[in-house]
Amino acid sequence: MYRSLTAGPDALWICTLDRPSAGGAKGERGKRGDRGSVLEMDDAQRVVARLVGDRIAMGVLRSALAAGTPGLSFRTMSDRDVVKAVEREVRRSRFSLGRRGGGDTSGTLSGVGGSSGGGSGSGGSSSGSSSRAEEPPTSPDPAQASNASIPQPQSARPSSAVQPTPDPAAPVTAAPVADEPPLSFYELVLLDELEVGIPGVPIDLTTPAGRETLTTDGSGRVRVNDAPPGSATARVITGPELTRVLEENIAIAKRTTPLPVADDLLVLTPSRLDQTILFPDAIPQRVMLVTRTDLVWGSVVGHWGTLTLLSQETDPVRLLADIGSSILQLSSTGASPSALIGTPVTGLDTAGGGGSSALGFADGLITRPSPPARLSIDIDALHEALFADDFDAASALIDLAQQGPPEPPLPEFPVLGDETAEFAAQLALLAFSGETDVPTIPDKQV
Amino acid sequence: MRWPNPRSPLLGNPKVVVKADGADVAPLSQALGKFEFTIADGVVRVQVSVEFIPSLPVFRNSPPVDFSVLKADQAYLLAGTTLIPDPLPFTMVNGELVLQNVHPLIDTISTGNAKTGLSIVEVRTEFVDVTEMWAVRADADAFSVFEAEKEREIGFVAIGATGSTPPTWFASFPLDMRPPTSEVGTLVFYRPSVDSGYTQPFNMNGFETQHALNRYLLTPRDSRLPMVLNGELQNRNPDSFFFVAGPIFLRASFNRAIALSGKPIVLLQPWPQGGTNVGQAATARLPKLLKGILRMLRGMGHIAVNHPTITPGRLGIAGYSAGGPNIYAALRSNRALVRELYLFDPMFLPPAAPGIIQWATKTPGFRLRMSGEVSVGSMRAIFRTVRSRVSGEAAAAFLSAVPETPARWKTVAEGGWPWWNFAISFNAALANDFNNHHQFVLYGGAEFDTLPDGTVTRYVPWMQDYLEKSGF
Repeated sequence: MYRSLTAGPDALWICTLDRPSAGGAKGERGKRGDRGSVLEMDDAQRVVARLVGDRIAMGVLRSALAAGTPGLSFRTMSDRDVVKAVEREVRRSRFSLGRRGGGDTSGTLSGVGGSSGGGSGSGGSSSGSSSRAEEPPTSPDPAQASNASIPQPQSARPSSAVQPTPDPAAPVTAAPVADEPPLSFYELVLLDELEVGIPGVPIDLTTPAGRETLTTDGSGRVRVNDAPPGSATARVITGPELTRVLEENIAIAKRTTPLPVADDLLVLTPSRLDQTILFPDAIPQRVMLVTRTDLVWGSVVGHWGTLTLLSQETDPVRLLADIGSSILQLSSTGASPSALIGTPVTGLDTAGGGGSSALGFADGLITRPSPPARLSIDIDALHEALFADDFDAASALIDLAQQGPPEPPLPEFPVLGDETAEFAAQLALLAFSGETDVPTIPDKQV
Repeated sequence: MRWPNPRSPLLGNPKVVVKADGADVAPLSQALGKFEFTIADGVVRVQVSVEFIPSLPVFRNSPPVDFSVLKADQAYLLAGTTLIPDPLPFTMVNGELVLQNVHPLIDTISTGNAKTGLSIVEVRTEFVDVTEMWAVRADADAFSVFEAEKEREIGFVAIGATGSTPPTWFASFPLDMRPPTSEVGTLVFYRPSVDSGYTQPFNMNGFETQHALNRYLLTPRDSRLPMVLNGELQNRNPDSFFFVAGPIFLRASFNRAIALSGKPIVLLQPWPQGGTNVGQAATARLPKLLKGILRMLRGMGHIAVNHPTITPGRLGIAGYSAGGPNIYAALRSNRALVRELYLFDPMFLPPAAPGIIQWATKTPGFRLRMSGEVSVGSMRAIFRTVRSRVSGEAAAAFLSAVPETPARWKTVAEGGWPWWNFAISFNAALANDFNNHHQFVLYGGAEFDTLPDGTVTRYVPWMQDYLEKSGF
């Protein structure tokens, strides 16, 4: 079910849709309720249902309302007034609503224009490198839809190549029904947590014009132009390519201000990217990818800055050493790598210091040949636990990480052999000169 | 904020304070060894402090008394969702401004991303400072003697272990210790059992044994000088040049040895739980225990405040008489870490001798010092074997065993040590008593000068000699 809500003056009004329940929206009769709650489904509402998503402004209405309805405020409107306004503005915008069977109860709107991705009939130009699917699906990928945080539009739009048939029974109002709705665009911008675009990320984008795989440009943007209005679904393609891009992005600073909240902004972590994002045409959908987690170690035992990052250079980890503190910059890539920090190799321990490194033998002398790990932590798991406010999990992950040098794995000395024999021989020799041990003194005497 | 071993009676009554921008923050929850707080958005500075003030009975059936055993605090700046230790690199420690922005007894792990953060402030409570408690519980007379006659330049701390054995350690160190590097050397001394028959009374539970401590730490005193005990002038034994607990139990001058050697080391005595049982102090856990003890000593401002960070440096182990088996066990478990080995006539040496020989021949920069009578044969055999395996200078510089010949136990005229000659001059009957020899190889030394009237002008006990020639 969905509901209408008032919003700020820019958005005019917002329709939000609760997380989907089984059965979808088509033909569903919502509950009548308080203002701002569930509307009865009719064609207009189905249009709304298709056009809007979770926390997404109705772009198709925004432009229309902003242009031609001065003084109109939905902040105090009842749901029914909202519906009427939708109907009016849809007509004004020459949005052809094809009358559909089933749940049409109002009979006040007819016809639904646009396409639900039924082929490439209306075409559409795209920005960013593109690889259009050979056989675009006629509806969003069910597998994707199953992961979506919002429901997929249930009413399949007829192909833009197929003109809707007017329903003679429908009381079509005076609004002229256009032959074709004006073409629109679909845009998604992938941002890092500092709100800078992330380039080079492949995104699977399905618009009414079809499905294609685009790669974000230098601004982190993918865009499809000249496509029929409606809604689009997008899914960031996770995998090695994304990991590579994120690894290159590890040097960004961590966001220190609160995360922004906006209707056209979706904030995700890499591990949550594998979901379908539904958004309308004409309003860029922003997706912020939070990747950075800092790990600060304050201890006299040593700072990470004095240690060595043992992870591979491509791992999403950086060490930042400054005076008095050291920050381990973890950058989540969705690949679940671990940060590995250790002491530098010091070579032969000729200075004779106690030290804490692993010890071994080389050339008959005690050495410190290899640096032990001092910290190993699952970056993605920690990042995700924090994002989910799961402090117990985050605490457990930190506890699992080795924070101090491990007990030195002391080497076994060679088996005693010559030493025993020579000692015995010397002891015997000394006995001849009278230099022998004396009987043990009772402990109380000492 | 959390800390280990919260069930230890030494960690009772914790006082935890968290301030956000100067305002107290009420704990979100409290559990044994764990307090949780929520820091609000927008806070710039966070300060945490903790003090453990257990309330314990000083004596059996006595009312409990409060003692402060550990205190630490840490300041942070809030960087987004993480706590960064205050970068201001100076702080006051015992009235001295030192370079330090991270408290030695507080570990902080702070993690956070753009959404939220988690900071774990862990107080290192493995060891605490129970000196204040010890001063009350120790034998009053013996502690009075200790306070009156101790070397003023040597610090003394009684240490309580909260989660390891033995439960009590004693530390001696130069009060003005300013080691050139952040590494602090330690010398662990394994004493004989504490339930033996010293002339002076002391109890056997290991916590009222100040007499036994005095015997090792203090310096012999000229008995002709006045001595004040508990504010009263005491009579001395006119027959004994040194003030001693008994005829042969002369003080071993360990504190003096530390002071005169000039070595920035911490002498640690794991105190037996009974007999010679020193628990984990003679196992492979020894390095970890030492690390914790050094941290506590640094955290409480006792040692090396010229370094914000200290690490265990050169490790030496030593022992006397019935402490021998503990020496051998500690060496066997930590051979790769031990660099100095001082054997003061340890018992049961022969079985351990091959391991000692191997350790010496495979340890760069080793120091092996031996003085003995009970184990003189084994020592000489070890000496000869090591010398045959270690080339020239190292053997001469790093290896010694006394007495070199049996003649050392005779008069000066016959080749004996001057100090020995002086000692037996008070009681000729002790000259051939191997028990007396056994004591002398602990407290005595090769270098000893007197004036014609018998006034001792210079003496260098074995421990001092070993430390001066050490790699510490």
